[in-house]
Amino acid sequence: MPEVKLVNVTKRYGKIVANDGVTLTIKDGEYVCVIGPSGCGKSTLIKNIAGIITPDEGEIYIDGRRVNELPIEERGIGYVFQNIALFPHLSVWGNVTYGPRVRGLSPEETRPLAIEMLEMIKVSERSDAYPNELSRGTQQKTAVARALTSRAELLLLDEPLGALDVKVRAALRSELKRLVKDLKLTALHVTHDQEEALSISDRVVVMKMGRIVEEGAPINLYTRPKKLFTANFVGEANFLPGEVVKASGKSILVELEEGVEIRAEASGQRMGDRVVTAFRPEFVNVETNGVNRLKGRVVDVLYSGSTVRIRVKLGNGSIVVAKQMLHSEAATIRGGDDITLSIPPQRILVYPYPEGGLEKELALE
Amino acid sequence: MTKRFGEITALDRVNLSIEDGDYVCVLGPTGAGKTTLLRIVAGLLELDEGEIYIDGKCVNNLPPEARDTVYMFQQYALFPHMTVWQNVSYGPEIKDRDREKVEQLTAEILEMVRLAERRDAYPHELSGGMQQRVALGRGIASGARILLLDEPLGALDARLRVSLRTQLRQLVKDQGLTAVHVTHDQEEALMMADRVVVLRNGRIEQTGTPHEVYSRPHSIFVASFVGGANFVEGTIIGSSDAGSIMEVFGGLQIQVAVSDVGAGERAVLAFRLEDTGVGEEEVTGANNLPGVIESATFIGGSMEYEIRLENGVSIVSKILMSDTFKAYTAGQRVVASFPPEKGHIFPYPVMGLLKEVEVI
Repeated sequence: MPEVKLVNVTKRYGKIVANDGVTLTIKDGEYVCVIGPSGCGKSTLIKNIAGIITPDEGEIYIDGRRVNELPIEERGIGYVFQNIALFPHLSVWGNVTYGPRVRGLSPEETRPLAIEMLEMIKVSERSDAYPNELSRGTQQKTAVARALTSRAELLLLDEPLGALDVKVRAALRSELKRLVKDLKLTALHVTHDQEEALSISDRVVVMKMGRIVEEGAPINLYTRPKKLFTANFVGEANFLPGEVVKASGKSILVELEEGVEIRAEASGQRMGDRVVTAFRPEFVNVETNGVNRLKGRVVDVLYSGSTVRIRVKLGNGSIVVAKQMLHSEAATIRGGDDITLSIPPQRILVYPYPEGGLEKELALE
Repeated sequence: MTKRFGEITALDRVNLSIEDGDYVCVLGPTGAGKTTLLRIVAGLLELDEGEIYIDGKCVNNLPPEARDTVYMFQQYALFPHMTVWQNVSYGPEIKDRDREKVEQLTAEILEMVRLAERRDAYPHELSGGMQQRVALGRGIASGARILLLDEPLGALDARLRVSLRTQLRQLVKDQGLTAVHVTHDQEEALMMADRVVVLRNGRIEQTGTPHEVYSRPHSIFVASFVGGANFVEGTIIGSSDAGSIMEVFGGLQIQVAVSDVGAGERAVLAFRLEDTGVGEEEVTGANNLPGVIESATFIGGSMEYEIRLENGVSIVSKILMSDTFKAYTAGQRVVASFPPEKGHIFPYPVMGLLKEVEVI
C-alpha cells in the first residue's frame, strides 16, 4: 500500500498556474477525492502524480521515493479516466489480460489474476463480450479491472464515472469504494460531483485556482467547512451578509441587512466585524417557536422527490431556502404564504466578509 | 408517434400532449427514445407513423423553421467566430432587418440571461455555464415559443448544474414559453418540471406531476428509476378493505395499502429510502423491520444506512440530517420502519425483479 506525497508542486501552462504550490499527503490505504470547479487544477494534480506531465517545481514521492523523473509505467499505478479507453477489438478478457501479457507474464500467471478481477467487478459472465456489446457502466468497470490487473496498488481515477448516467454513477460509486477497500489500495479520485466525493472518500480535498482551499473528512467538510468557498461548493447553503453587533461569551449577534438579527455560536469574531452567515437549507426549520426567527413570504415551493425546497423572501429582501422532508408539515406550505423560519444558532457558520465581495466568492463560473 | 431505426423501434405509439406554458421533462435511461422524441417534435426527424400537432395544426410536413420550435443541443453549437452579442442577434437579424428593434431585443435578452457585461466576449472566453446561457439567449431570440432542450445542463459541473436548474425554469416561465426538456437525471426532472414523462424502451411508462410520479409510481421501473426504492419480494397472503398483508422471506408479515395483487400471488413491495426510518425501538402503526446497520454513508445533507434485516435482505434508509438527526454506526442493532401507506405493491414481473431495476 503506497503513500503519496506532494511537496510544493507547481505546474504552469503559459500564464496559467494550474497547480500552485500544492502540498498533499495521501496515506496508505486512503481513498481521497479531489473536487473543485472546472479549471481548478484537479486534473493537472492527478496527471502530475501519474507522470503524464512533469511539475515545473516541487517534489512527488510515492512510498518515500522521488518519482518526478520516473516514467509512468514505473510508478506502480493504475490509471482510469473519464473516456473509457478499452481496446475495441479485444474482448473483456482480452482487455483485462492485456497488461500482464505485455509485461511478459505467462498465461498461467495471468489467468488467476484476470479471473479474480472480473469476479471483483462482477463481470465474469461477460468475459467474452466486446466493449461495444456492453453498457457504458460495464465498460467502465472493465476499465477499472484492467487498471488493476497490473497489480497496481495506487489507483488514480480522473472523473471515472463522469461519462455515465446519474443512476449508473450512483450504483458504481459504492462498488468502486468496496473494490478499493477490499483490495487495500490507495486511491486518488478526481471529480466535479461533490455528492460522489462525499459518499466515496475517506477525505475530500477542495481545490480552487490551482490551490488547496481545504481538506477534511466528508462529514466535517460538509457540516463545519472552514472556508466560505467550501460551504458554497460542497453542498448548498444560504449566505446572508451582516455585521457583528454583540460578541460576548459563547455567542454572537449578527445584524443582517435592514436590521434583522440572528444569533450564532462565537468563533473568534469581534464587535463591528463584517461577516457572512451561512446555513444549510436542511437546518432551516419552518416553525415559529425556535430561535433565530426570520419572517418572510414564500416565493415558491419546489418539489424534489422526498424533499421540498421552500424559497422565502425575508422582510429585508434576502432569499432563504429551506429544505424539508415531504411528509413533514412543510408539505402544506404554498407560494404567497407568510411564514416564520427558524435556524438553530449552532447550525450557523460565520465567515469574514470576503475581500473581493460576496458575489465573486460565490460565483461558480 | 412511432419511429423505427432498422429493427429498433425508438418510439412505440407514443401519445402525449403538452399544454401551453408547461415545463415538461422527458426522463428515461440511455436508449429510452428521449432524444428521438425531441428531434421528431423539432422536425429534425420524420415520423414513421402518427401525427404531431402544434397549436392544433398538424406539422408532420412542416420544416423545422416553420414549427415555432427551437432545438437546443447538449453541445451548445455557438458560432465560435462571433461574439456573445452576434450569436444572440444572429437569428433576429436575418429575419428582421430593423436594426433598432434587433438591438433592443438582443440587449433585453442578454440582460435576461445575465450576460450583458460579456456581450463582446467570444464563446471560448466563457465558462460552460455562460455558453449555455448564450445558447439559451439565442434560442429565445429566435422568437420561437416552444423550447426543445436536449440535456441542456448535461455538460456542466454538478454544482453548477444544480444552481442553473431554478434559473432556467424561471427564465422559461418569465417568458411564458413552453419547454420540453430531455434528461436522464431524475432529480433534475422532479425539481424543474410541471409534468414528468417517464420513457422506457420507446414507450411512456408514466406521466404526471413530479409529486404524482414520485409518490404513486405505476411500475417497478418508475419506482426504481425515479427516486429509487427498496424492493422486497414476497407473497400476498390476505387482503381487506383496510389493506393487504404480504409475507416476505423468513416469515415477516408486512402491512401495505390495498393492492390489485390477489392473495396467494407473488408480489414485489417497494418503499422509498426516504420513507424508511431508523430507530432503536419499534414505531407504533408502522411496519417494523429489525436488523443491523451494515454501513453508514454520508452523501452530503443526508445519511444512507444500509440495514441487513433478520431474513438476510438488505434495505437502505436515507435520512435528512436536519436538526433532529440521530447517528447510528455499523454493527448497531436497529429497527427500520415505514408506514403501511408508503408501501407500493406490484405483481411479480414476468422477466424477474432484477430486469426491472438494474441500472448498469
